[in-house]
Amino acid sequence: MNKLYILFISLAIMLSSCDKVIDLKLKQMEPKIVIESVITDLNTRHTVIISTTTNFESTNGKVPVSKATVVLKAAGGTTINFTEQTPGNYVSSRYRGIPGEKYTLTVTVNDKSYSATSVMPLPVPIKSLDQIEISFLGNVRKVVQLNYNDPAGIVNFYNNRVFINNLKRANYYLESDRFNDGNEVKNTIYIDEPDLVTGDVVRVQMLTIDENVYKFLFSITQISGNGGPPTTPANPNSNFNNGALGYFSASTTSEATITIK
Amino acid sequence: MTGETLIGASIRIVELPKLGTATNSYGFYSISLAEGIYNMEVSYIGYTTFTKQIVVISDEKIAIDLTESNNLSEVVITSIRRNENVIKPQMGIEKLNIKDIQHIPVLFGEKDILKTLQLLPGIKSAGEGNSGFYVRGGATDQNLILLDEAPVYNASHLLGFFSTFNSDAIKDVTVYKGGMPAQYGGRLSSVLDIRMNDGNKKEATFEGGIGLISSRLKVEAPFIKDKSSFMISGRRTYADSFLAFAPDTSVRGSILYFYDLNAKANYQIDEKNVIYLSGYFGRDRLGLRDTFGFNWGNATGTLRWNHFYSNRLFSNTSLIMSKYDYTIENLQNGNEFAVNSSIKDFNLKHDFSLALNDKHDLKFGFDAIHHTIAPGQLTSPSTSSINAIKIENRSGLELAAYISDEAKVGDKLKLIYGLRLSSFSVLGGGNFKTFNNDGIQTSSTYYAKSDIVKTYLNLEPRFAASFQLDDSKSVKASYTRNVQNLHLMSNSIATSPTDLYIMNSLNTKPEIANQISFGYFNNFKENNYEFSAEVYYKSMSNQIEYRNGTDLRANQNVEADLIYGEGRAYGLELFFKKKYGRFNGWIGYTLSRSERTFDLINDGNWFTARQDRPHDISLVGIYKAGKRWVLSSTFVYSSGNAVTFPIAKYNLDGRTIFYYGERNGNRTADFHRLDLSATLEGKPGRKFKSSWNFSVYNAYNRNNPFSIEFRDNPDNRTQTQAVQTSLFGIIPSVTWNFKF
Repeated sequence: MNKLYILFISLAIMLSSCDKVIDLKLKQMEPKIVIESVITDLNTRHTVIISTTTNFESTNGKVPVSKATVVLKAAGGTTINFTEQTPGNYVSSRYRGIPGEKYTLTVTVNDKSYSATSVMPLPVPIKSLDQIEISFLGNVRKVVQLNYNDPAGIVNFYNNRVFINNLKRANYYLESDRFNDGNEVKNTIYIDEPDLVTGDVVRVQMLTIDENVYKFLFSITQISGNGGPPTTPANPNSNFNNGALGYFSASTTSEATITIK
Repeated sequence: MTGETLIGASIRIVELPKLGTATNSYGFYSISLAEGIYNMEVSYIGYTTFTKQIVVISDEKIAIDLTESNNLSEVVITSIRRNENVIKPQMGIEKLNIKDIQHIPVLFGEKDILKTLQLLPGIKSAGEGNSGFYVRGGATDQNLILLDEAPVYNASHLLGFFSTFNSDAIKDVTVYKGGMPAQYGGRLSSVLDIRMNDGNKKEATFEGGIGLISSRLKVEAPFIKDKSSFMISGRRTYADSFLAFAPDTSVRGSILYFYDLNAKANYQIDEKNVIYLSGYFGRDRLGLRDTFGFNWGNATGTLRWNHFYSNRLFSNTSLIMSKYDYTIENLQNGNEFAVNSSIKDFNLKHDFSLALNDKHDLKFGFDAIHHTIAPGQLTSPSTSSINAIKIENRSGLELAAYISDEAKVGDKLKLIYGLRLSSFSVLGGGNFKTFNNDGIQTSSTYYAKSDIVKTYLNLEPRFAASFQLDDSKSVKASYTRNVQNLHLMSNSIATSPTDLYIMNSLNTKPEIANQISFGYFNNFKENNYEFSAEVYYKSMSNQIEYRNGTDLRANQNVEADLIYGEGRAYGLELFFKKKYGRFNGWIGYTLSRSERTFDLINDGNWFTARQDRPHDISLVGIYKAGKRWVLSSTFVYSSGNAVTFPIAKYNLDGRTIFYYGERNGNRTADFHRLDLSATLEGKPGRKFKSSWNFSVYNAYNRNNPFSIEFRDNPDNRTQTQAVQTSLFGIIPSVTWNFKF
């Protein structure tokens, strides 16, 4: 939609629009804690990544936070401890998350605790992953279509992770069933820059997520400047308390792979 | 002579210079004189002044035909210099002369009243090339835009770059920035009262133009000479015609255009009764074949009856409808759907104007509007994976009654004081929910269609006074309270056709603004030059914003995501204008602030509103060079927009995420631009008149900031950068206009 918006403006009035990199003197702030964790219903070692914010001018990437205490508690009583494996990366023992269970992740850094709660939704399996072709402004493009049956009568949110030739795309491919609750969903996943070509192996990992995580990730896509009219950016509401950024999600997963013809 | 009624023509009695008056919106005037012989002078800019000796013995009706003066020879006419701006108590008012608009350079040569308005002090553009505007620190939806009394809900085409007002069809434009008279109500910041041409009652005329973006044609003619006439005017853009030549077929299937149709007819039944029927219809369409379709537009209709009870009592009765709607269609196989949304008004207005005596002019009347908002209906074929959704319609009834008196107290003091009583009833027909401060639903009650869910009642005092220091100097003061019952929800800084209107509800209360202003008005050199200085302070309550991360698409519970706060705006406006002569124009300067406070934004501290641009300067010059050339130029300078920049960044799932600082705590670079225009008029004295207009937008090719985006450096992914986008570079254009 945003892309179309820009496209039509450009067509409409043959804009002589121009972009240039500018130098801004940006204010700075004290670093904040950033926590990133997704635990799943796979019997695996789950990770929690702890880092801090950096200044705009700094090099991209995570600034690790070491020596944190990381504890995952299930409402049913299970407690799982995480240990730091590499700086900022904390790993659990093997554990299979239980759909419907409420999980609380607590991270303690320098005597300050940050916790977040997430309920693991019920699993939704992928039916199939197909290749389709769409014509967009004269270019016939290869895209993939993810098919699944959305469970009727309950609210579902999804975050699809897309890997191309085993390389993860940074985009969040978010879906909600607000418009297709209980239906056979045919979800077109647009992939560009670069477009898909014959031989590409596309793997889609569909994660079910709860509403707070969806809202958090949706806010991120809104402030990430993917074209469209400029909006007033606002910081997304993390599900962590005490001012930590990032998110904690308990998710079920389903995977499918296709090789582009 | 066209038989067109003139609005705001000045009527003066030579022997009694203090007694002047002006024609109202229907060309009606009334003046009270003692018995005797007088010389009456009637003048209107662009017309030859009319003088007549009148003998007053009893009440008399005098209809006057003014002759249009040749535009270019106007310099030699020594017409009466008017000083109404000094005498009248009304302040915060600006009038646009349609004859001036055609010479002022604009983007793509499309003359546009909304963009010309933005050159006046206190009125700011909502964005470059955008027809949306902010008045005295208020939002775009706080402007009441009336076309022949019908509200226009989305006054822009092509995502904001053109206004819906085809200036061929427009007779008069008046904007009130403050001190609105009591007959107007419903919006906080301003009233923009636009009147269409009535149609030539004497003879048939044709007028049109061919421009870079669009072509226009207007026909005016009498049905019955001097009694009845019509005007019809159309405009269509043709940017998409070029797409037909595109090499690939899918682009050829694309559509992209807008059109406007204005029509008006009038019939003078007898000496005492005139009826008018006018309408507007406009639509934008864009679409990609087999993929996507989008169309939106306004339709308005006004039926008016003017009745003269006597020479002192005049009434106008109007039946008005207005509708705005949009439709979005997704045509992709398997996921087809259409979304439809609309707002519709039915309005009855009855206004009286009574010239009680030479000291008091009364205006009173009532206004009833029924609003229906259909926020969104999603339909889909059975083969689609998308479900149909219908969001409940909302309706409301807005009632108002007003009375206002324009009074002369002694020789020097003039007052306009009035009162408007307005009510808004939320009508039933659905489930009405309440939400707490966290956006959690606290109750849901079903109300039948016949139920009144809630009524909001407000008293709106209006007051304006002028004290004349001498013939050319006065000081003025005004106080206005305005109430707004409809609210436009927009997340973006540009206007979008899909912006959602909501009305008052159990959660959303009427927006209320109180404004006080003071002014000093001074004319020089026999009213050849006008100077004014106004200061204002405006407080606004029940202002509306979204919570973070709100999804507006077909959202049943959009109110759960709204937060309410306060606003304030204040400033100084200086205006210096040369009205007459070979060279005319103006300089406007505004120094102002606009701020908001919301509990959930910026820790509840006051923050700069997006309408805030402290310094704003406009220069307009029009020069009649020789017999056939008119040269003009505008220059605008303003502070940059208030925007929010990041103060840190972090990494999540391999992506760089920016952490933003104080809301609107930063500013883009200053905005400035020079536009030039030259018009070559046809040889005078011929029946067929044509002119060429050449214009250059952004003459020195300034890269003004439109948006600033933060992103990873594509050449070095380990670094981030700020990228500024500018929309319009230097743009020349040419338009050919004709009239016969």
